[in-house]
Amino acid sequence: MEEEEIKRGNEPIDGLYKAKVHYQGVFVLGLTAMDFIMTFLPNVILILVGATLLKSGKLNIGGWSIFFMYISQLMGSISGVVAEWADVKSAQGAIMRVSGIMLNPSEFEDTYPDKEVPSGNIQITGLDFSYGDKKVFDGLTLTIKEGKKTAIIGSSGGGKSTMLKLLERFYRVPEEMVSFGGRDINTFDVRKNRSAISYVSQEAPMFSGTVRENITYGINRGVTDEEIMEVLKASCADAFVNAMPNGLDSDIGENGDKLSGGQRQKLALARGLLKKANYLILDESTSSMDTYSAAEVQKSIDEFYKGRTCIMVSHNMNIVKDADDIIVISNGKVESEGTHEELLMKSPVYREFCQTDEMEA
Amino acid sequence: MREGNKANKEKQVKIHWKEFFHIYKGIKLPWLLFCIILAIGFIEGWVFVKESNFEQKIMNGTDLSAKVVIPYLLICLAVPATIYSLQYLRDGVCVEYINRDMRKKLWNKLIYIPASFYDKETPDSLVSRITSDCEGANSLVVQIVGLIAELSALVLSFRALWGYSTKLLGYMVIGIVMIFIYGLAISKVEYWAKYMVQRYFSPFTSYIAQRLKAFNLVKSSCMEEEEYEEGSRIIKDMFKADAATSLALGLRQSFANLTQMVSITIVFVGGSIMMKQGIIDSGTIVAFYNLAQIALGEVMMYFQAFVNIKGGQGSLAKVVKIMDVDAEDILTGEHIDIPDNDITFSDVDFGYTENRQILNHVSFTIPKGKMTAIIGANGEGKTTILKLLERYYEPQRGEIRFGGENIASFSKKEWRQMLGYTSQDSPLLYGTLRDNITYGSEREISDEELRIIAAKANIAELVDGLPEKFDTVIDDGGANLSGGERQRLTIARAIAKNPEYMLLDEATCNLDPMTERDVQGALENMMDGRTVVVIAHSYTTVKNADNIVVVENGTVTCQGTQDEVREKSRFFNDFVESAAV
Repeated sequence: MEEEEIKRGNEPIDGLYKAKVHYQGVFVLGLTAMDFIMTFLPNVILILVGATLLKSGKLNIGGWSIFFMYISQLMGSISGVVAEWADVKSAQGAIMRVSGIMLNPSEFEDTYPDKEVPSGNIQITGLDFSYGDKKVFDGLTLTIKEGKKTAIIGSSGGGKSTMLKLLERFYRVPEEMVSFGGRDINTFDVRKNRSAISYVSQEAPMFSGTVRENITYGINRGVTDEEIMEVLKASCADAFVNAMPNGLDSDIGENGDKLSGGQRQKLALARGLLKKANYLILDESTSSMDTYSAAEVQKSIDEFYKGRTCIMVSHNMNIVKDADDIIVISNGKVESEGTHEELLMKSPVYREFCQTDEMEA
Repeated sequence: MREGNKANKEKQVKIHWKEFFHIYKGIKLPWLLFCIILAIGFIEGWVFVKESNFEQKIMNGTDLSAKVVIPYLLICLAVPATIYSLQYLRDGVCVEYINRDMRKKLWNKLIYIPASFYDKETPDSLVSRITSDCEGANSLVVQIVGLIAELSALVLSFRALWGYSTKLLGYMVIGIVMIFIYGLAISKVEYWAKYMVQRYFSPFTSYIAQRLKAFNLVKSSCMEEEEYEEGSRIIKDMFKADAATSLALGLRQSFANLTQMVSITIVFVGGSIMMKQGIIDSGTIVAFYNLAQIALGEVMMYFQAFVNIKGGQGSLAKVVKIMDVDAEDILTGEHIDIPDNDITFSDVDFGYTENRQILNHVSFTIPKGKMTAIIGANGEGKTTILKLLERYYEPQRGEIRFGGENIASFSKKEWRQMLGYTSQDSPLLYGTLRDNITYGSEREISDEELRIIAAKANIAELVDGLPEKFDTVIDDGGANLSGGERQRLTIARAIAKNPEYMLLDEATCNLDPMTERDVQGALENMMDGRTVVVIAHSYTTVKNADNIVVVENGTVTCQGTQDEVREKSRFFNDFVESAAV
């Protein structure tokens, strides 16, 4: 497609050329007109009128010179004022947008400080939630048990990620519908709420910097190299990090560009594990790895995280099936809940989820 | 994460004048336009001098008749007219003309550049190469043409000034020289200010962009306060750069004012002394003063031109580097006679950089008309094998044969037309569904055929649900489509291209089972009787393959049918086991 793309790319380039030439024509004309009015016209008038006055003796050359100098200064000042006015006008447009952002309230304005960190079972009761007109949850009720691994499955766009975002309070949660250990989520301090959750998303965002800087991001305590190596091992990232030229201090490029998608996810997992929060949330966090690696990583994390609360969302049934509790969400409600074996018996939706993954293999 | 420090380390790209001139090769310069500009430049000089002549006559009070005043007024109108047309032709038409041709040349280069080039450059930075950096190209040509055009105005006005009063001109020159010493000092300040901006601006934007993109991470890590502090630190650095820029700007403006003030003082103080002595009359002083203003403006222009050319070179530096990369020759090479044949990798070694080998002694065969699945852990070189097949890169050792012949001997264009490369993670292009499906297909595709393709790719329902069917616009890389829909659209594109060989990089992104079934169905329809090479991530795909290639540690450890591989490869068995529920 090289030739076609060159033709296609040349069209806007030609268009830009025409537009710019027209713009320059108008722009330069305006500039010249301004120059003419501000400089040439006063000059012409001064010279013609001045010469007449000089001839009739009403003005001497000294007076004329001073007048001439002042006029050029004055015109300079006037054009300065005009230019300032134009600047003020154009700044107004920009300021409007900024003030539009500034008018939004900050997150922490209406929460009160509280030292308690959420823990215990997570209980969602009759949750209704919608984005604008689109209804996501319609009376969702479920329990996530402390110390267990709970998997949530459901079709794409079914609201699983929304639910996880609500736990972190990225959106306002309706009163008395979500609670940690029996206490309503809205009564916790937002920051304490978030520090209780270690959220690993499939995007695995990374910043420019080293492996170490990215893994310890958001961790206030001192972290030893041993501790970092431990979590890297748990997320199967130790091999490739060790192979990098400077180990933990290797630069990973802008947004982690020097790493593959799977490698970024492994680092994001290590970061999530190092946070040592009460709840670990894995939101499709192995999606960029192939089935084999994903299973390997999940196994290693399960071992590392045994006995703590973990919530995972995935379409990969191989890693879902080992969860202590599996919750199937369909049409904004819980369709069924139980272990892999129980669900195979009672849930038609779950059976459908498993079929495509070739159980007989 | 100290972005500021990173900028310090970045080395400035240096280019030589020779390289700089080299990039104008192949660009047709608008010579006729240059001639017109030079002609107008000459007229301009004449008009300037004429105007001051009239002023001298009028101010001497000798002649105020219509015979003098009317031509004077006409000349006064001619001054802005010539200034306008000169500036418009030079800064408008000429500048944009060269920008346009330079953009086209760079675009052409970027399209034909070998794929390996894109390993080193991020697409985002290349965008600004075309949109803004190319504009540096005009500076050299336009400034030089402009300077030649202004030359006559400069010479004519100084000759006239010389005629009015040699002594007064002498005083002026002394003043000008002093001002220019001051000007040189200012240019040092300006260079420093530009350096500060360069040093702080790009870390600032990249910092802000990265944090905003990952604001969920910032929030869930409770890093708001730290990020605010870090951001404030970088903004403070930006402030330093801005302050330096303002200082430079202020000095530059004062430079212009100073020139004017000095010339006023010299002309009027010196002039009045000379008038007292009877050497000069009042008309000459006025004429001299007005012309001196113009002449000084011309001198300033020459002074500025040098700065502009230097600035243009800076922004072009990276464009020059791109132009130096040899474009890929896709046309020469042998014609491919046999439509289809076995492809053999024989002892292929490859690495993207010299010290890191990706593939070692890779040998395997892709039998024609069969489906070959490549499996292996992440980062073992599976995708690299497909890239070598597409000939984005050349093997460092060993060869890839089509039948008996090395594939390097065929024309790249023909070779690539024969292959259909589909990465299911690939983004869609801005345009309609039709544009996206027919992208890369040489032939015309009728609506009838489009519907058949849509049915095969399992997107018929999706298309019917859209308001404008195939003419619905997909924006932003398909952001308004789901992952499964995007994958099926790339499959539809592959079906439309109808290649003999299908290279498929299977998506790793997890889809829900219903969607995955639709995608699998579309894939099966696409493969139908073709030679297919697929990088498999799901067991379903592997199960359908006739030939399985296991890649481990950059080499092929096992190849054969399902049964053969099952016996020999531990990795294969692990793979199958991990896929079993």
